[in-house]
Amino acid sequence: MGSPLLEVKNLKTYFRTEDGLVKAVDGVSFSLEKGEILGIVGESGSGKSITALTIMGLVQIPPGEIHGGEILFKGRNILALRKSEMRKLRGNEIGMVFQEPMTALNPVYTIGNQIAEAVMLHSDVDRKTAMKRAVEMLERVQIPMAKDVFKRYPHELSGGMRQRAMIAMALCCNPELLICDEPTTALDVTVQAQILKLIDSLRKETGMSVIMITHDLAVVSEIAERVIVMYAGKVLEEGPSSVIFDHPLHPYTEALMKSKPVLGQKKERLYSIRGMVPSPYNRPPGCLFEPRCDCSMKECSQAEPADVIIGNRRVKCIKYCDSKDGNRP
Amino acid sequence: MMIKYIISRIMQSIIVLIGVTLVTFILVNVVPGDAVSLMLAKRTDQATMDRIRHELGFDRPYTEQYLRFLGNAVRGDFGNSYFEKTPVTEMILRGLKYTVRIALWALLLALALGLGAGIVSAYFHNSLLDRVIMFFSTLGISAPVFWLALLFQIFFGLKLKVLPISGVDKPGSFILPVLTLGITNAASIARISRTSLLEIISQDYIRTAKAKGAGELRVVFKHVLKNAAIPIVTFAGLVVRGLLGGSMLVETVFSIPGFGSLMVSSILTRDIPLMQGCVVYGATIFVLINLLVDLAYSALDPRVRLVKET
Ligand SMILES: Nc1ncnc2c1ncn2[C@@H]1O[C@H](COP(=O)(O)OP(=O)(O)OP(=O)(O)O)[C@@H](O)[C@H]1O
Ligand SMILES: [Mg+2]
Repeated sequence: MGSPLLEVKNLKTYFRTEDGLVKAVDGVSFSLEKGEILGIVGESGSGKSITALTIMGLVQIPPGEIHGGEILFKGRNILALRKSEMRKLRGNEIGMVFQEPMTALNPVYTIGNQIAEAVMLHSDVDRKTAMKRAVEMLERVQIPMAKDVFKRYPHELSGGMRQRAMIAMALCCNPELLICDEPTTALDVTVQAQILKLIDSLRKETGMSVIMITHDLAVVSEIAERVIVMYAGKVLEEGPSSVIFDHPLHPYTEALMKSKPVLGQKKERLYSIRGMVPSPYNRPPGCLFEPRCDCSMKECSQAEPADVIIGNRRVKCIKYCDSKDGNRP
Repeated sequence: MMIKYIISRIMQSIIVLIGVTLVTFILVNVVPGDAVSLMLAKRTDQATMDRIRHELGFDRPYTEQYLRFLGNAVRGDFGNSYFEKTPVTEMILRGLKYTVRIALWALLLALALGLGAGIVSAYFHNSLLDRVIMFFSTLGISAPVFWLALLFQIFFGLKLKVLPISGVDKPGSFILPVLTLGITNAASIARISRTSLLEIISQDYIRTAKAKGAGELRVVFKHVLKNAAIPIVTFAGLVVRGLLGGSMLVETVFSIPGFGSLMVSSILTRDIPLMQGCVVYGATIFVLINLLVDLAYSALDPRVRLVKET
């Protein structure tokens, strides 16, 4: 394999608020190959969206601040790019789809206008060509009667249609990376499945890479090849989606699995991880999951465990710190 | 879709105006003490009163009288004023000349000052500058119009002696009324535009626009302004209506013979044709402004067209 399309190294995005420093993303590292789908999972507030927005260069500064780290996109550190260069990247080489198709489209412009705008921002075409391209894109995301939908306003479309339009917009300049931040959370289950299938087939068609952010483990296990599990701004575990959920290494991943409702299987009561996500302010040293962990030891609260590589997996838990062998499940 | 909406809005306006003439007619004719006895001195004998009633058509059935009134009103004919003996329409148009002039300048001032201050406030929100602007805007909103008018008269007219405090003849006599009306309205426009700009800037679709690679100027001019304009236009409509209403107060304080003064005096002197004319002209102006605001509103916001149609 050649060099990865995207490499995030020890990324730190902090927010200075009146109540203190929020370490929203605190030392996140991962890489993404060409054509690969990477899933990012984690509870609410674990820093998934901020990771994505940092890659897009859309974190508001201030109150945000990129405290450290590197984001190498095709080998170039995009954190060091000038504003205008970053703008050329956004929507062109990196596209993004947001969670709420309801509010993510501008209510006072037609769907077509908004897609054509994205086309014209990054290529030297006239309005007519851009509009033709927009209709093509709408057809590509399998919107029936694309010419008609082109002229419609967002409020005239269903949630699923709007999300397809968002995807069309994100893909109209053939980006090499598509970031989807909970693209299906606001949709009902059947539409959800259609959208995921669409994203997957578009990925196969174009060879782009995808980052799929979600807190829905079912979504990730269905679509992603590799998964990173985030908690309180840190990556606790990384591995292929085929094994990570069946044989989780980190107690947090295990707890996430238990809390996931299984379709058609009645449980006495839904398991949920006890305790709460730690306050983002004044975090103690040591493992941040320790207060909620079923297998915590006294060393856990002393120092943050280092990353341990086990085969093609990575885990941040003291349990594995001295077992250098790579033949665990 | 848009055309259908416009036509239905115009029809609505016409119905409202017919309603206004009907109510005016009923109020003037059906309440006890008819126009003729009000107009003539008490000692006029019965025969003369009857003759005049007949001449004016007051002995005809009400429906006939109303249709005649409506027909005349459509042609802009409200008869002659009892006291000035000149056509009511002529008097009203003369008054409107002053009122509209003051209202337009005040609107311009209010929009320029209000939008400017609102945009600056939103851009530097939570800074000292923002707080200062919002402090003055609160002051401007809470200050009663007549109090501000008196204050200006005392300060610019009596203390500094730079501006005339009443009438319309001297140069600069419009400045104080315009300032008074303009500043009070600028204060509320500043507040509303700051609020709506800040609200729009934090919307998801603004983030989407940035994610597309749109530059800052493009985001502001294409995506923010049109959305922020929706509440501002609605409010500007209120302001215009308020300006016309406020003109009564301001014209009285500054002794300006405008539409507002005319209306007040028509009521005080029981000049019924003038009163009828004022009500119908006033209502027409209000309805037209409402229509304009609604059309501007629906041109800006596609969601309105849908809601109002169904
Ligand atoms: N502008 C901000 N100011 C202060 N804190 C912020 C800001 N934006 C985000 N945060 C904090 O950053 C942390 C991570 O937020 P993020 O939106 O990335 O979570 P998430 O994993 O996407 O959660 P969700 O599943 O709810 O979308 C949260 O604790 C949040 O409170
Ligand atoms: Mg999120």
